[in-house]
Amino acid sequence: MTKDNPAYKFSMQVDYGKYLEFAAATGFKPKPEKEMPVVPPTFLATAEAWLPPGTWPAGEILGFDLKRSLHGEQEFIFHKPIRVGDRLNGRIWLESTFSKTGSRGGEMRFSIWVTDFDDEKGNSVAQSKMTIVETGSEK
Amino acid sequence: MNLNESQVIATREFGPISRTDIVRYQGASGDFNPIHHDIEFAKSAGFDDVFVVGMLIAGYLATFASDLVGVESINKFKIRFQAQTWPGDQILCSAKIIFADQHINGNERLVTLELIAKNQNGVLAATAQADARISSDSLLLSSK
Repeated sequence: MTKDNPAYKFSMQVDYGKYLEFAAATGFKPKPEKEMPVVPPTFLATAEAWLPPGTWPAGEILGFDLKRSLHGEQEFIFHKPIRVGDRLNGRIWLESTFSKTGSRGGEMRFSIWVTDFDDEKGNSVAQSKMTIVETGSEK
Repeated sequence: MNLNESQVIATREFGPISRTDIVRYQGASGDFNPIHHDIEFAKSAGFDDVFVVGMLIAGYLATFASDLVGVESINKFKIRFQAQTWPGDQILCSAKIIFADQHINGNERLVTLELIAKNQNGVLAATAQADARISSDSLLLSSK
């Protein structure tokens, strides 16, 4: 799997209703729709709502156990501000995977998932990078 | 420019986080991992209770950063989760400027904020960084 051969593709509309819902959930003060407001920095987490329910790449592709998995790190990079009204095309791909021995002896598996977001003209507008860790089974 | 790069420039509190807050975030984001709302599932995974979605803490820190520098000025946001937080926890956030570009580009300077979230017992929940381009006459850069 590579950037050009992603595991998942999706299309999302940055709609005002989702913006309001996300703002309410994160204590963010929303702006009026007519201003086509810039979305808050972690809003692209809502890409998940545009994938089939239950989509979980680390489980489906690497067999990670959901009960032993944690979200380690998350990064968002914006090449331009994302605004209400934008339509984005997303591609999710596995950047890397590696293992370490955990402090309690079990094998910890790491996976880094990238989502590239393009606008309708195909220009790259944002990138998300998510680190999912599966802890050892000795728990 | 009178910048002290290690000084806490602002603090903010979120919570206490209710189970409803967790569910509201999960509905908004589309992340329905049951470990954050289904106590039977959480127990079967070895936890005493459901725990807060990390991305909710990320959302709080992102809101905090946005209110400090302006949402449209942030071009990078990065968070590392350090410890789980639980229903009823309060989240105490603080911000420092850890980098400020000395070059003024037009009327803008690049700054990096370091954001920290702790629970009410002082346990570090997450550390984050936000890169932003802010106006070089911003009060953030000139405050004592």
